[in-house]
Amino acid sequence: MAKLFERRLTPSDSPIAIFATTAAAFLTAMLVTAFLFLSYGASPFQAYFALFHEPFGTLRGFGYSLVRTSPLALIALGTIVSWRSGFSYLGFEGCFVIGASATAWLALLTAPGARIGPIPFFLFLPLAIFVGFVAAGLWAGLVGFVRARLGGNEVLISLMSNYVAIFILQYLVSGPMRAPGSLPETRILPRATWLPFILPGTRAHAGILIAIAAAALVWMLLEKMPLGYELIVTGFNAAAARYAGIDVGRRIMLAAFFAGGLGGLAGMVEELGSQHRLMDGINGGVGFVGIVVALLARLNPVAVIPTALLYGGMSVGADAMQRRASIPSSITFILQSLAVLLVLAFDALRYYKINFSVFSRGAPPTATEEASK
Amino acid sequence: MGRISRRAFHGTLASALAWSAIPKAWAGPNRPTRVALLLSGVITDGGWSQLAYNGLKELKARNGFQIAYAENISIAQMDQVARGYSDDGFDLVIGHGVEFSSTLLEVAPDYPGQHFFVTTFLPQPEVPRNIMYVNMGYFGAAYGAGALAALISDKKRAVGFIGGDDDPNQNRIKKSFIAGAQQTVPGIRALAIITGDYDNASKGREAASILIGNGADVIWHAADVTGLGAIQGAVAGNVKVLGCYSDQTDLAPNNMATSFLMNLGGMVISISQEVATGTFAGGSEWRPPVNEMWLQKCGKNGDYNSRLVTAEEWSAFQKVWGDIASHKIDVEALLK
Amino acid sequence: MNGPQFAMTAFVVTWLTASLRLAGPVLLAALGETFAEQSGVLNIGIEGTILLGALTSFLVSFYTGMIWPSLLAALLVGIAANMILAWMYVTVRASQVVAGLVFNVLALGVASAVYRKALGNSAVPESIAMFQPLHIPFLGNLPVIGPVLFGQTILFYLTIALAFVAHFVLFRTNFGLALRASGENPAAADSAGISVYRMRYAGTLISGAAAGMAGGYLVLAQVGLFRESIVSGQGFIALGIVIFGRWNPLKATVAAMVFGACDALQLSLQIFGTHVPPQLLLALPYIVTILAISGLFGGKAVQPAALMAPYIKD
Repeated sequence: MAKLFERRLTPSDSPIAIFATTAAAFLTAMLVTAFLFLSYGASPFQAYFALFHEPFGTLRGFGYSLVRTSPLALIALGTIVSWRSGFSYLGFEGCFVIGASATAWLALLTAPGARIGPIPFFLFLPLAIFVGFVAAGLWAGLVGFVRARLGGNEVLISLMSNYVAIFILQYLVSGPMRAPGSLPETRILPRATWLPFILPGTRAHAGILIAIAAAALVWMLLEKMPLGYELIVTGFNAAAARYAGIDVGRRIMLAAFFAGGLGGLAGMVEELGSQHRLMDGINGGVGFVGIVVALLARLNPVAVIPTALLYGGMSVGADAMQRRASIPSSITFILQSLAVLLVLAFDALRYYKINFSVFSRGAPPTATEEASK
Repeated sequence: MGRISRRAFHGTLASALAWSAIPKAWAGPNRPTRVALLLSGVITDGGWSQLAYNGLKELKARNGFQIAYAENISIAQMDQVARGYSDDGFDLVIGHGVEFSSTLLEVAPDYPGQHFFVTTFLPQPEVPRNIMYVNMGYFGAAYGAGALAALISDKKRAVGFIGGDDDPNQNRIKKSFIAGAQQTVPGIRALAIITGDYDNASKGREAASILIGNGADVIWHAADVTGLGAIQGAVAGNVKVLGCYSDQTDLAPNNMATSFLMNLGGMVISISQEVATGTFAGGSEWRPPVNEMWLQKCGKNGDYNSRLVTAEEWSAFQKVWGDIASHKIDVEALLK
Repeated sequence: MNGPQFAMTAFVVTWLTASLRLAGPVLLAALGETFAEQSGVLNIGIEGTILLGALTSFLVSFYTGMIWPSLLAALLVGIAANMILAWMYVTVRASQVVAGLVFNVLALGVASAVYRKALGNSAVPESIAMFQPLHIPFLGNLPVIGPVLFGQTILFYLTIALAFVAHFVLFRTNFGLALRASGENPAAADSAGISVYRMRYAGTLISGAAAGMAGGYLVLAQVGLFRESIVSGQGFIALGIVIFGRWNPLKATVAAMVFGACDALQLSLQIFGTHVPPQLLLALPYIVTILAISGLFGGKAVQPAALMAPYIKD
């Protein structure tokens, strides 16, 4: 008799299988967390209503979801470029900070009476993109250099470099870039440098358009251009790439530069679109969440924007949930991390295939089994 | 946790009443006043956030108030959370800490009928009428702590201060502490370590043991969780220690001379009442007198631990403390 | 003793004592992490494990007043938590980096929720039973090295002893050989009859036990209280120490001391009122680690070749 579950040699890669396992993971996480809500006297229905209604059912909440999506998507794209090139970079928190600092510095130079003085936005924006991208690109490129030329371990170096970048930011806002007064932050950036708001009545800004454009470019790079192919080959099998005549070291440094640059753009977008001034703490973990988003999108640039929107929306919803149902922040941490861990764990299900012939003998189907179609 | 005395705030309430009375949206008698507290930390930190939350809890117990809070708010979330409460119709949104300063400044003009309060200094000379800031007298308190530390030092060689994040505010607190110690007991050394972290108790402990090893025999901190470690360090080094923010006597019953506790709960209650009665005087920086904002408490011992502080030392301190409050000692001028 | 000499001696003694004390818990965590990494697993989840260990030891010590059972409880919780991680790393073959990072968030949520349910907002005194510094006769009275080396708590000496044990186990036993083979060349290890899965589970669980104990160390010997922020990146520092120490427990011991020394120096130097921007001093330990693991000083050759590479048995 055929077994219900049969083990596959490779996981099923069909979009349906991926979607079903992901959805099953989220549902399981929500079910578990529902019991925690009850223990705090909060209604799970009310809480989950807020979780989804706020980001996707209200205009204002949707605007905030877009605000959260932009930096997450850009960092996820940076993760995709670096990880698929075999460069396990984790320094996006630092790139974000460096990109934000560089952009804020440039924006403050264009304040009336400052060194550069006001310039038109259509000139400022490309300049800001260039400065944010290159500053963070070089920051990450340094780690790429260490890996490619000295053989250092990029995972730990990039982790540590986050701290250094944050100290640089703290130094800047408490020293050279500090606004007069007691607060460790810069002046507010000139209004003319802000990214335009794109949805009336919300805080959504043009950063989301930059993120979408970046996703398209990364997709083109990786799927359509010879350079992208070389990067992926480098990541897949460095030795083979070397035999094929690819300068592996140079490709890694290039991947690091691109990845860091995308992380820097995330900082730029957050700075010009939403914060409008530089202060300590602007990063707030976004560099790591972006990596998680990339992984949930299965390192696929096309899936990044919807995944980031979903994740960004959920975090907007989690804040609303905390606000509406008075749930401690620890429970939202548990919900978010459990969901991601279960998504990773449920991936293992895609190694199994279901023999549907079994069902004809009357075995009832279940939700998770759908996953392995 | 230390209980907060509300008595101290009756005076400030009266002075607030005397301030400009701008017509504003009144909370009617039938509608409760809704107060939201925004925190960057958690309500169990045993200090800065918890003290404010305690005030909120006390409001909840009264008629006429409805409360809400959100914790662990990162800078990226602030705008959304603040506007969320505003859109939900909260009458008063309190941003607890310097992090909320610029966000609420941007949010406030969009909700002219509601009120905002940020527990930090006025960031610029002109602010909207519906937002209020506060000068909580950190520097006066630090000067006082420096003076008391120097007075109760047994060896009169050195006293020590442990700070949190390396920001301009902490650096001024450090300067005020040093000035307080050296002007009260000429010749004493005042050592200071700013750890660069509000949340690292182990670092706080080591900072304390370094200060003690270099001769300090009284320690004060203004570093929240890092400061909790500093208290442990003082216990391990068996020197006197002064608490900060809350009454921390329980953490070191044999070494805690007194705590400089901050009346954050009272402040939350006082501001909420102003909103409820329509006397909220925004557009300004509230300057409660330092001796109402900061109180000295030492658990069951009363104001101070008489085994560690003599009555003469205490009365000498009281004189300095009074001079700070009456601006006879102008601490802010020392910092310029 | 005259003034300047006293000041200098005091500076050195306090600096070094603080260095060693700061090094203790991170070294313990790093020793465990060495086993995980030698088996091929980069366990970033130790930050969260330390936090869970810290909470456990605090609660047990708070309720029972007994120190050693508190430490043991922290160790057991560390192992239990790392069962989940080992399953994710080895069986599910999830991205080790992401699983570890997300686990840290989960641990933070759990620790904070449990602490709040157990004690949060209550008005009870928070002091718990703690390990006290030993006073070793004669040795403890030696100038400078007496207070520095012989005035620590028993956990410090235990950690140093464990470093030697770890070194012996890793490099002198069959178990250690099998563990290192799993991290160096899993396919070859497998064909030699070693269960790579089992070795990697063992490596991860050892790192969990050590990290849980490190949390207990932090609470029971250093700070005597619990807050959800008390670990504040020490797990990540332990990761740096493992690499700085070239995946060798004895070198990791030295690495931990160097790290502690940098950390304590930025505190100690302030006694002199130095005018260096404090962020530079604060960044120093990180810059030292980055330089140490950059490959500028060699080290690539000793890294476990299959680190972070999931193993699929055919």
